[in-house]
Parts: sequence; structure tokens; C-alpha cells
Amino acid sequence: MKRRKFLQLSALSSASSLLVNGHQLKAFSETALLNNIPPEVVDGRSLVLVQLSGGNDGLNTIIPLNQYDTYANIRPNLKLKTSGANAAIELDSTLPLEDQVYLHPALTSFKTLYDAGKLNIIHSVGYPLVNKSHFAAKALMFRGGDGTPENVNKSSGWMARFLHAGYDPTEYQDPLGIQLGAKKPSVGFLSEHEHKVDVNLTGQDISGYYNVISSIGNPVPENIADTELGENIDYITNVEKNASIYSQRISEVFDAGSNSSVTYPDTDLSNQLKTVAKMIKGGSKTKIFIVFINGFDTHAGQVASASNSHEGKHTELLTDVGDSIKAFQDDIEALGIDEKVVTATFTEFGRKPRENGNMGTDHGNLGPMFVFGTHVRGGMSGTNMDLTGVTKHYDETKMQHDYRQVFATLIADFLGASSSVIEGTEFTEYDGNKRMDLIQGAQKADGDLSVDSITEEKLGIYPNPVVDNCTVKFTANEMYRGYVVLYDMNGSIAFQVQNDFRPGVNVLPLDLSHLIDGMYILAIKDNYNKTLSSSQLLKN
Amino acid sequence: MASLLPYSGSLGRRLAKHLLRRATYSVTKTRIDEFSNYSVDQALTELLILPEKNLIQPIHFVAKNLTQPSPWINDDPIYGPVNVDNGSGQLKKDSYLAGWWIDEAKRDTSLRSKMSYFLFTDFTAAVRFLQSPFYYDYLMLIEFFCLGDWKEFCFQMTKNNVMLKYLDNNDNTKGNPNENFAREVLELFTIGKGVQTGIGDYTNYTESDIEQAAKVLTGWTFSKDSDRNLRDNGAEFGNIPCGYVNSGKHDFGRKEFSHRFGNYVIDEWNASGKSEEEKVARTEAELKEFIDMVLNQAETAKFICRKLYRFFVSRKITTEIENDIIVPLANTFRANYNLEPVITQLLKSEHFYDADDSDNTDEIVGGLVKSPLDLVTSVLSTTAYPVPHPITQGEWHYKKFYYNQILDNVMIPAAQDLFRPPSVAGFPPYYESPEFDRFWFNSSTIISRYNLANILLDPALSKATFYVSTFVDANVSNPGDPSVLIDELVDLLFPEPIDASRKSFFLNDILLDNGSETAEMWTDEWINFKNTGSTTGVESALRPLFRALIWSQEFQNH
Repeated sequence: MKRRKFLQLSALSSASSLLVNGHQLKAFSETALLNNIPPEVVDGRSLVLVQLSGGNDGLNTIIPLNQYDTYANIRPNLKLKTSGANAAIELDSTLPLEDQVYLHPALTSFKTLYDAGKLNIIHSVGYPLVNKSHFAAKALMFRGGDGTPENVNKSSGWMARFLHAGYDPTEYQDPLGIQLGAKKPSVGFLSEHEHKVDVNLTGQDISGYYNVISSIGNPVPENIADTELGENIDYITNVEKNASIYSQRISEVFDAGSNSSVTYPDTDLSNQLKTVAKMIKGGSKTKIFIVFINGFDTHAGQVASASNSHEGKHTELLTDVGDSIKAFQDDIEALGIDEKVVTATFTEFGRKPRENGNMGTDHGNLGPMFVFGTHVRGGMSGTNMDLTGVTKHYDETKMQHDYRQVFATLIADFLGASSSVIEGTEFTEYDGNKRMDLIQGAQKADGDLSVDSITEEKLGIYPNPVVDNCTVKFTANEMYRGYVVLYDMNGSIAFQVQNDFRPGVNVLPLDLSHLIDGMYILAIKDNYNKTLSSSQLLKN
Repeated sequence: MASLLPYSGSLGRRLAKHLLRRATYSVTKTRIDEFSNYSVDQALTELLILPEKNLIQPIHFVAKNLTQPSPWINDDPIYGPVNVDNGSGQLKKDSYLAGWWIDEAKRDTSLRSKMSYFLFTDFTAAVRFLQSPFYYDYLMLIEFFCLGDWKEFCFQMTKNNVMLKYLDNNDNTKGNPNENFAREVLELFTIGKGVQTGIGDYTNYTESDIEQAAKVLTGWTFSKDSDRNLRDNGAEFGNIPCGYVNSGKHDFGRKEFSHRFGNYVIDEWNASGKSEEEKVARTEAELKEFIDMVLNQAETAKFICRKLYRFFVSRKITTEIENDIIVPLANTFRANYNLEPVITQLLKSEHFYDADDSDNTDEIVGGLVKSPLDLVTSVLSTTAYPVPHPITQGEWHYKKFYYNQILDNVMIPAAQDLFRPPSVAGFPPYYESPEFDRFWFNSSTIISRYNLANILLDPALSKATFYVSTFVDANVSNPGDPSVLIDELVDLLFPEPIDASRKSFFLNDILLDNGSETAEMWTDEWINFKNTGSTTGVESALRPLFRALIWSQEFQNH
């Protein structure tokens, strides 16, 4: 069997299918950046996201020091003790009293990193109308949505939007996103773009990946029918192509890399982080790595017992997270690549302040995020959660940070995303004066000094609410054949029409009389199916 | 306008294959030939005939202290009493249970196996939360109701031991309610979340409804290992071991639900002075009242019908599909919450057979990516693969073939550890929009999906002697003619025909090894095989062909 044919065909097809969209940012090599940080340095940076799956209990991770009595009251069994052996760790007595915290006793490593100025603790992160289901919340955080009707139905992942908006894939041998630790491809990378820029390497023998991938599979069928089956074949072919295109580079980079003599704990999370370090050392320029640890859904057994609250499921997990991240940070410092990396943990939601009577906690809103790295501004963002007025079943603690502010800050200040890239990520609302201070001043990149050719695109729909007919006015900045698409509240396409857009104001009448009454999202898409602008539409 | 009206006329070959692939895990040429002549009524009647199982439960092979094949779950009418001392730990026995289920599914000519797995994706519980005998009970409960009364199933499943343990309900007591089970019952199993309209309000229910539901569920307790056979759910429902009510832990107080359920109230009940039987009866009655309340909502039937649609038909539920298919289907379901009329209506419909419009771009046929289970069973059943015998070659059957190869080397790395999904929501391809079934195929599952062909062709791994020539001989009319060979194999294996250039790939590039053989040489090779029985020549050409067909992008779909 002619195995080479597969690779040859895929090399050809991929060259023709790679998209160079005029709206995208130009190559990094052409940007002049703040602080005179050389573009190649910014381009060499990576973000490592550690997903704590199941909803981490923030209140036993970080305890407000000056509200300990309130805390102990609502957590008679789960409360961590503050003196004696295995006590919670006093983080920083130099802070004002109302900002001081205890760390969970398992997090000695976080204390070390904090003292070294490499950890920023972000309080009370969440999003409007927190959704306490794992599955919906996880999906929302990866899509960059929230519980509000406007933002609950994003069809792509924010990471994919960021990567497509910020980088030209033809300039990179590496996949722009890599996922480890979870078989199902992250919704964060979900995209309507034909060219996938991410690879899921969960469970793969990375060194041998190329050898195996290149020896299997069939050539692409030359003619793919325009049917559902055809679409599936197309999709499968793209996955194969994508794996094939990147596999050689992935295996090369992995084999060229190495780890230092730092000892990692023997856990799955550690192995994932060890792999990330090795690949970055080997020259990978992947922008986002996602690693994954499950088990935080501690409805029961969160602590071993009231007298041994320092033991139990939560302790095991935090020990793993703390020790793995510390080992990772030590490793990348020893390898000399620590300046390239910022690591951040996140979790889908928090847990209720009040314990549930089964040695556990139920789903709640809000929780801390932790950001680590040599170039991170050490310290705290925000202050302790206010535990007063916590009622029996529902916590009313207030959100201090929207998770999108955190991610927007990291991609802007560390990875150099410009405001148009932030817009492409659909994070504009969470940037600007909402940007946080997570990166050391002298290390902040600012992509807004880059060449930017986008003019403001404006979308208007009149009348809205609409009964039968309406007019869509859209200011495009160049000519293309695109679509006007209406999504209903389940994310399904209710209506779609092709349109040739001209530079300037485009006017389209739409007959929507056949649509069912309700709320829709109207999106203007270009010829690569990228959403240029969107707006709510109410049908009466 | 999508249509639920029944498809008229006989199915023909293409649609017969489509129905068999979607409705069963067992597709053979004989069945395809048979069903091609059927109308939808005849076809569904056939599919509702439930055959006897080959084995009613897994039977452990001779090992260590076990001197004859014996069950470890229930006493067996053929293989004798339970013997737990068989040298295998819990993890292995869980896998043997999964292997047994797959083996039965690939023989099952009825709708039973698919509907059972569908119900598993609805009321999901992972194996390993109690010993495998309990999980067998869970599977038997599902099987009992797979074409039956879904409302009763909701009640029965709530008292199933595995489910109660999986969702921590032993910890859900009057003084300390634990919301885990209540949350998943509403969010995942019955009505599902709607759009979030306010804090804690998900249109179909609210956070406070979860708290009230948790109260309804207080006191339901699972039977521990030693108590498994202490109580069952009665002859009417299969005598399946189940949990029980610990009335002392039940909250008999008033439960008031939100405006989403019309402010429905389950009245307080005065338990003092009442007998144990009365208290248990009241607890059961409350649960049934709660289930009635949820099932009276129009959305519940629709939620389940959408799951059915995605499992059997397509991931795309447009507004048109919602209105023309889901809504009427839900009406059928809501009539008496019986699963049989619903699935038969769906599988008889013009929509299912692409006959309700002339738009080729939305064809149902071939539109779903095969799950690893579909992939495995489609190859095993269609080739009549000589899987090692479960009794006479028990160790190879359970340990080598199903456990080491099918599960460990294919399905698990392909992200479908059969009864151990990553969470109570199940396997993401069954619920995560918009990709759904496409999630089965990604860069981390490619290698293991392709590995299936290699494993099945390697007797050292599979412990089976499989000859592609045997398969070809039984299923192709004139294998000596390479064109007929390709045509008929493609017809058997692929959802749709292929074009000339694709056929040329299989014929010339693969079978005839890029032109190093001619068609005549192949014909001679085949004739020689038929005359002498020597497989060496034909296998050297057929094995790469088999691999290419199983690897093909077309075969990944059904």
C-alpha cells in the first residue's frame, strides 16, 4: 500500500486549504511591542492551563484569616485547623488583615511559590448567572460564555477564536494548541474553521506518534459528496490531516526536548506537565497547552473526618496539583525556559460555603484562580470573599473577577494579543479597564502597537424586535461572499442566506415571517465561516 | 417539512442496511438480503422479536481454584451455582461483564441491545461503584425496560443499587440532604436544563426544585454487597435486586416546588404512629408523585425524544426537526411513556429514510460517526468473526480477546470504556453540542480505531483464526472477479456507494498492489484457493484490502 500517498496528498491539500484571512493579525515578526520585548521572545511564550475538573472548593483552598469564626461556623466538619500539626498555612502576614489568608495545608508548594513572588492568587472568579451544572458550566468557560441569554450559546471555543485571530497557522510547524489528559477534544478548541490548529495527545506515545500516524490511514477520497456522510468524511479527513501534519513535528520536538533532574510526583497530572516542559524545551511554539485533573466534585468525602479535616479527597487532589505545578516550575527553571511560560489553574465553578452534611460540599459559584510563573506579578488580586449573610442553602458571595478578565489579561499582557485579537476572541467587554495586573510591568507585551488593518464593522438590524421583515445593515471593509446566519437559542441554525458583501454599507432585507417567535442571534460570516459581527434579534 | 409519516414500499438494500446498522449491533449479509424485501412494518416487527441470549450472564473460565466454568453473579441453570473464588479481581470481572455484553450485542438481531445502551446513556451509572453483580442487575433493569414503560423505569432506576451508590444517595438523609442524585435526575435523566433565565432558574426547573427533590429522595438506600439478594423489585419487574427505604432517614415534610412546576406541593405526612409498611409506602408514593410531576411537563418527553433522535438518527436538530419530528414524537411518548411506540414510529418514518425531502445535503444515511462500540460490533458481526468460544475457550474469550484487545487496546483508548463513562453525564459524544458523535474521532482516538483492523488480523493477539477469504467466500457472489469483489464488499460495509476513482484505489492500489498484479492474476489466485484450499496467496492480497476497507473514512460512519 502506498502509504506515502497519504502524506503527500495531505501536504498538498493542507497548503491549499490553509487560510490567510486578510482580517487576521500580521505575523508576529512585524509587530513592535511595548517594553521593546523582541517579537520573537513574545512569540516563544506559552500559556499552560491546568483544568481542575469537577468544581474546586475554593473556601477550603483559601480561607479568609479574619473571618475564620464565620468560616468555622458554616463548616463545622470541614473546617481546617489553624494551629498544631497539619494546620492551614498562613500565607502572608505583611498584608493588611482583611486580605490575609490561610492556604490549605496541602499547598506548601503554593506558599513557596508565593514567597518567591511567582504566584498571583485571584479571588472570587466567576461569571454572571453562574450555572452550577458541571457540564454546562465547563462548556461555558471554554466557549467564553456565561449564563446570560446573549452569551450562553457560543458555538466555538475561546481558545480557538484566539488562536485563529492571533496567529497565521502557516507560519508555525507546531500545532497552536495541545491538549493532554482528557480524551475528548476540549471545547475550548472547538472551531468552525476548516483548518484545525490543535491536537489532542491524551494517552499517546508522543515519541512514536509520528511513526504510527504516518503508517496508518487511507488517502483522502478525491470526491466527497455533498451529504451528511460527505461532511463526516471531510471532518474525519481533516482530523487525519491535522494529526499527520503536526505529528512529525510533535514527535521531533518531544524527542529533541528533555526534562531536568527535578523529581515530579508520580501522578497523571505530573506526567502531563512533564511532557509540556519537555516539548517546550524541544522547541515547541504551541501557544496554549491544556492539562487536566479530575475529581474535584467533592459532594462526599471531601475530608476524612472532622478531626482529620487535613486528610481526604480534597487534600489528595490539592497535593497533586500543588506538587505537580511546583515540580513543573522547578523543571522549567532548571531547563532555562521558565521565562516562556505562565501557568494558570481554573475550575468550572466553586462550591457552596456551607458544607452539606456528608463531609462534602455541593455546587456553588465562585472560586479562586492561581497564576504562576517567573514573569507573573506575585501577590493577590482582589480580597477575601465576604462570608457574612451566608444563608443555609444559597451563597450570596459576590463575584470579584470574571474569568474572561483573567484569560484576556494573560493573552494580552503575556502573549501579546492586540485589541483586535481580543475582539476576535470575543473578550472585548472583559478587557480595557477590566484588564488585571497579573504580569510584571517590564514583561508586559502590548499587541496594540502592531499593524492593524481592521476598520470598525457595524451591524444594525431594523426593526428589532421584528415581526415579519427586517433590514440588516452591515458595514464591511472589503469584498467577500459571506452569509447571514440566524441561530436559535439551542444553537441550531434557523435561517441562512448567502450574500456578496461590498466594502462599505451593505443593506439586506430579510423575510423572517416563517420563524418561530423567540430570541435569535444574527451573525454575519465571511467566506471562511468566521463570525465578523453578531447581534441579538427578537422575533415577535 | 420533515415527516414522521411511515415510509411506504419495501426498503430496498440501501435502506435495509441503514436500518440494521442503526437499530442493531448485528449486521450480516443474510439479514440485509432479508430486510431488503420488507416494508417498514415488517422490518420493525422483526426487530421487536427478542432472541434468546447465548449466555444469560458471563461465565468465568477455568482458573486457579475454579475447576469448571462457573458464574460469579447469579446461580446459572446450565453452569451451576455461583462461585466467586475464580482468581479474578473486581476490575477484571467488570471487564468480563463488558465483554459478555458486547458478545451478546453483536449476536442480537433485535432492537434490544441498542435500546439498552440508549437507556444507559440516559440514566448513566458507571460500573465499579459496587461489585459487578450489582452492575449486572443495573444492566438487567435497563434491559427489562428498554422497550417498555419509561415512567416505571424512572421509579425503578431510582431504587437501583448502583445508581443509589453512584450518586451518593445513602448520604442523602433528612437532616443532611445531599443534592447529587436530585440534581442529576432533573438535569441529565428526565427533563434537562433550559435556558438560564435568572439566578438558579433554568426554565425547566430551579435550584430550589433540586433541594426539594433531594428531600423526596431522602431515605432511599442501597443494599450492601452482603445484602444483594435480600430484596428485589418483584416478579412484575424482573425480580431484580434493588435498594430499599430507610424510613427513619426520610423527610416526610412538605415539599414545595417552584413556579416551573406550577408551584406543585407534595403534602406533609404525619409519620408518628404509623407502621413501617405505611412509612415505606408513603415514601414510595412521594417518589412516584414527584416523577409524575416531572413527566407531566411537556418538556420531559421532548428531552428524551431529542436524546433518542441524536442516538439513532442525527446530531442536527434544527427548528424544523424540532417542530416536525421531536414535538410529534414527544406527543406519542407522552401518551403512556412507553418506549416501543416511540422508537418504532421514529424508525418507520420517512424522515429516517431521507424520504421526506429531495435535499441530498441532509441525508441521514451515513451521517453518524460510529462509536467504538459500533465500529467493533460492525466488523465482528459482518465478518462472522471467529471470536474464541466463551465456554470452551473461556480464558481467550474473556481475557485475551475482549479484555486485552477489544477493551484495552481499542475501545478504551478510543474513549469508550463501555460502562465507565468519564462522568454521570455519560460519554460526551452523546451530549456535547455541537459536535456530538464527531467527538468520537479525533487525534487521540485515531490510532486505536485503526488498531482494530490490525488486531483482528493478528491471531497472536486475537487468539482467533480469521481468514478474510472465508469472509469473502461467504459474502461475495463472484470473488474471482476483482470488480465484483470490490463492489460487493463496499456494498456490504459502506453506507453509500463509492465513485470510480475511489473504487480504483481499493481495486488497483490495494488489491492489485499498485499494478504489480493484474486482474487475471487475482482470478487465478482465487480459483486456486477454491480448488486447493490454500489461503496463502489470497490472504496476501485480501488482508491489505480488508485493512483498507476497515480503515476507510467511509467505514468510520454509518
